[in-house]
Amino acid sequence: MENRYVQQFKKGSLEMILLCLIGKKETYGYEIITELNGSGAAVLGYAKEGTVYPILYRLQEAGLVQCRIAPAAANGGSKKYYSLTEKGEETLRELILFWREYTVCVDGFVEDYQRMEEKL
Amino acid sequence: MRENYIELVRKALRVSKAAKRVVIGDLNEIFASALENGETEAQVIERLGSPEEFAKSAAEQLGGSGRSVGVAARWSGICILAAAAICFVVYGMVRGAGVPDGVIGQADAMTNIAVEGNGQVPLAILLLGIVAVVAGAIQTVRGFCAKWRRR
Repeated sequence: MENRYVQQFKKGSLEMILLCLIGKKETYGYEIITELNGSGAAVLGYAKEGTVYPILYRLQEAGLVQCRIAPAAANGGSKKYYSLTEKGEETLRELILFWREYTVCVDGFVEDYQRMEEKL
Repeated sequence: MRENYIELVRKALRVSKAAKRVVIGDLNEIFASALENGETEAQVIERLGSPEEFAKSAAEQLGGSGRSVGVAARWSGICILAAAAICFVVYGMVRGAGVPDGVIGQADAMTNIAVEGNGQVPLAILLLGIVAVVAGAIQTVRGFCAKWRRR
């Protein structure tokens, strides 16, 4: 069911999902993608860097996410660790609140439709 | 393979130098983390998509809009130069339509006729054209300089 409506749902919710993952603990790009693919791939589809990193840039530009660069012992390079800013935490709280109301509202319409469909 | 991919992204990126450094740094981290977790470079590249696509979507989020600053400067320069050309044409038409200097009502001697109106308009158009030529030239040169710097 990969139509454009489904794509829009996924696109819209991915920013909030990333904020949740980063809010849970300080994390880095690869870990975010691994976690997304571990628990959300079946519904959200397979997460790719080409999708996730641009969103991380957008969240950073918006001041919702901050990062620090730390040396990576395993590969001799560095890793960029993301965490939420105060504004990011506040925005996530607002988004979660909205999401709760949103799902209840949408579920109401869906249930109404399904009841009508059952009667037919 | 990895170096080639990163180089292609670097060339395709239409963002500031600072933003470019961030994206290239992230790409290096993506490859390093993936290799650390047992993935191959080919697997990472397959997931990343084409270098052009990756560069475009990154640029769109970093205020680059996928188009080069140089391209924008070149186009705005060309538009300003076109506006300057229009100013000169209008100035030429206004001047050409008028009667020669000092002639009022085709009289061949002094008259008491007082001329009212905005005689400064043609001059203002000419000045506007000159300003537009200078501004357009600056923008166009800036655009080409940005293009050469990227190479």
